[in-house]
Amino acid sequence: MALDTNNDSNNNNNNYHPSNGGNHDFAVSSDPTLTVENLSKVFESAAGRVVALRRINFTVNKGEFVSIVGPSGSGKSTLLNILGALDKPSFGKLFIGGIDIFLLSDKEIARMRNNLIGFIFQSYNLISRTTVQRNVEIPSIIARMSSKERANRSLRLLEILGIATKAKFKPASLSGGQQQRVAIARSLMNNPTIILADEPTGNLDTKTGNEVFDLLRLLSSKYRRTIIMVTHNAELAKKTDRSIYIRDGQIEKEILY
Amino acid sequence: MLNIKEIFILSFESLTDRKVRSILTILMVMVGSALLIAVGGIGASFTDAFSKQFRNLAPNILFISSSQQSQQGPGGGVGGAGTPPPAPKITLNAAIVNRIHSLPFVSDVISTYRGSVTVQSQSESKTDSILSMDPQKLLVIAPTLEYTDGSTLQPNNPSSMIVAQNVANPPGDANPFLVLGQSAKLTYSFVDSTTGQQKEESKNFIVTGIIKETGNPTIDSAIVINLQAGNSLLQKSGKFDSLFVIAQTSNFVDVVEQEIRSLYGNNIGITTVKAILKTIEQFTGQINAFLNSIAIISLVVGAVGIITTLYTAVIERTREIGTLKAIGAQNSDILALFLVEALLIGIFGATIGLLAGIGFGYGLSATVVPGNGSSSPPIYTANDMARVWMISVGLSIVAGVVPALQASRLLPVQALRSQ
Ligand SMILES: Nc1ncnc2c1ncn2[C@@H]1O[C@H](COP(=O)(O)OP(=O)(O)OP(=O)(O)O)[C@@H](O)[C@H]1O
Ligand SMILES: [Mg+2]
Repeated sequence: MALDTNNDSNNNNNNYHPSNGGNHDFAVSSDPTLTVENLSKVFESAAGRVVALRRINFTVNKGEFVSIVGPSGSGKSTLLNILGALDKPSFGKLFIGGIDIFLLSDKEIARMRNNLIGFIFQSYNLISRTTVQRNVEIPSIIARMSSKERANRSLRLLEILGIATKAKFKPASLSGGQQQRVAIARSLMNNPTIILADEPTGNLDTKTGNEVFDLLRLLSSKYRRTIIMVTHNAELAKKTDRSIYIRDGQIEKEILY
Repeated sequence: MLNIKEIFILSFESLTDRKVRSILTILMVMVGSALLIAVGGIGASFTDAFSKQFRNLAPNILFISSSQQSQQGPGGGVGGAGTPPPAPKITLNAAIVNRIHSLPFVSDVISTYRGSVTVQSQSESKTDSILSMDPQKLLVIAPTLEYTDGSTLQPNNPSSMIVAQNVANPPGDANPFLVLGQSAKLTYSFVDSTTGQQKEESKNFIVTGIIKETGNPTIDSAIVINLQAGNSLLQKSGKFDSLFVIAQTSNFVDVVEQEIRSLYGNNIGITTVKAILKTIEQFTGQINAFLNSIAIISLVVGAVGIITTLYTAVIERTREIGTLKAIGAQNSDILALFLVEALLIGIFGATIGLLAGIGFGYGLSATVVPGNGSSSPPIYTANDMARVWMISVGLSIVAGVVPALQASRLLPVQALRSQ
């Protein structure tokens, strides 16, 4: 089963128009590469100055599965948050599909996140008071997808991820692995081209972690999603297309597998 | 961007997620608007009841009272509810009546005796107030006064009594207490000033007239007998209880008041309709303002409750707000979610408060509001209720603004980092 079988109605999710018919018009799926240029991030606080990232440069191609590896505190999450435009760099630029993201307004950035990017967090970040299915639907509710299409799509995603029977349950009644599958389903809801995952297996045991990882692997190989995953599990990193090693906020090395 | 319907669904979900807290907050808003509604209703009926009492008074009348009048309690005298006159030391007798009558701009002086009697009709007896005066002058005091069919004025008949509709047919009673043409025995009880003994004076009267309701409580609760009959039944020996001084026009009321003052100084109680109305307005205005301020304070307390509840919710849901933003929610979406939560609390609180306030007002008016025995029900107007509803809801939204802004301005990374 394909994630985008109902492509007719979902096509607009693939076509991102940051300025409503302005000069940026383009179809991301034609060139969804992500590029960072000279990215630096400095945290200023009362306790002092922390340089979390220094002059980071790399490019991720469409459909590529990239892992970001490094010790604790090396700046992996900081980098991933900037890639998802959740945070702004102190210096440097981020291009997604050729667009200089941080030149966009906050509104446009939020819209881009909604349409182009799927987030998966280490601790799932599901909304506990509502059902699994509604959790999965939230990105499409923000995107104003029709409720019928929403229901079809969320159920199909839950089926693909093997948790369709849990659709009407509250997240708290699910195991960690199941909750992470819900989060993955949610990240796929608006058919994004890029998936950003910060230690998605970090809270799971090895076996469940491997299962969740295999799902991501499948998204990349079969459905050609671009995936950037932070991990400090070297075994898992080896199974991705490429690893970017980070130490003290700098790229230490890159390994192509 | 979320659409309106989804914002309401999501906000409602978060309200029901924290049921107890939401209900308590709704209760806080409810108490405020219920109080406002109840107080407004009672205040309106209060003002209405008082203004009804004095609406039918001719504006050219001055009330002169003697010390005896104060024994009759509130509402006993037509001028009784105004500022209590300083205890007068002058006996209101025929000489004083003539003196006042001779003053310029005075067209008439109506003297009255007052007292309480037991009325016996067949086997039943009731206590009623006597207004002893020239029955022909009733129309001067209450220009709108009307009699029922079959009534006759017999001003010189000392056995004739004219009774108010409420006396003849006491409200709530199945059968009339007095009917036209019947005879009834009036008994006045008093303490003999020389012997100190309890004594009674009785006389039979015939009901010759029934006065339709006038809106003037003195007349509406009175039995009118002429001066001769009043003087002997109530043992007054020519000492009047109160005088109605009729000025030629209402413009002369102040002049006449000054004239009487210059004659008798502070030894006489003078009340004018103008002064009464002014006092009533001040009095009801103050009471309403006081009650309203209590209600407003409790509404503000409700608003503070909303601020606290939403502020707590923002803290609790910081991570969720971060997640929503990561998923693509706009700042305006987050703002709307919390504002609508405040709005829903306001709508629930105000609506329940409205209904509770109506009931509460009826309960309060039955116990608290002073009336002439009969309780006046609160008056609720659609306008007042709509106003209170909108004030409550509006205040709730205003209370939601600060927490909602705080939530919408959270930076996604920081929100996600919080545990
Ligand atoms: N908001 C902040 N204010 C100040 N310093 C920060 C902030 N966020 C991150 N840092 C610092 O930046 C550095 C990188 O942090 P980051 O969270 O990116 O590390 P990480 O590689 O994700 O670590 P882990 O594997 O433990 O998750 C750390 O030294 C951290 O203390
Ligand atoms: Mg991290």
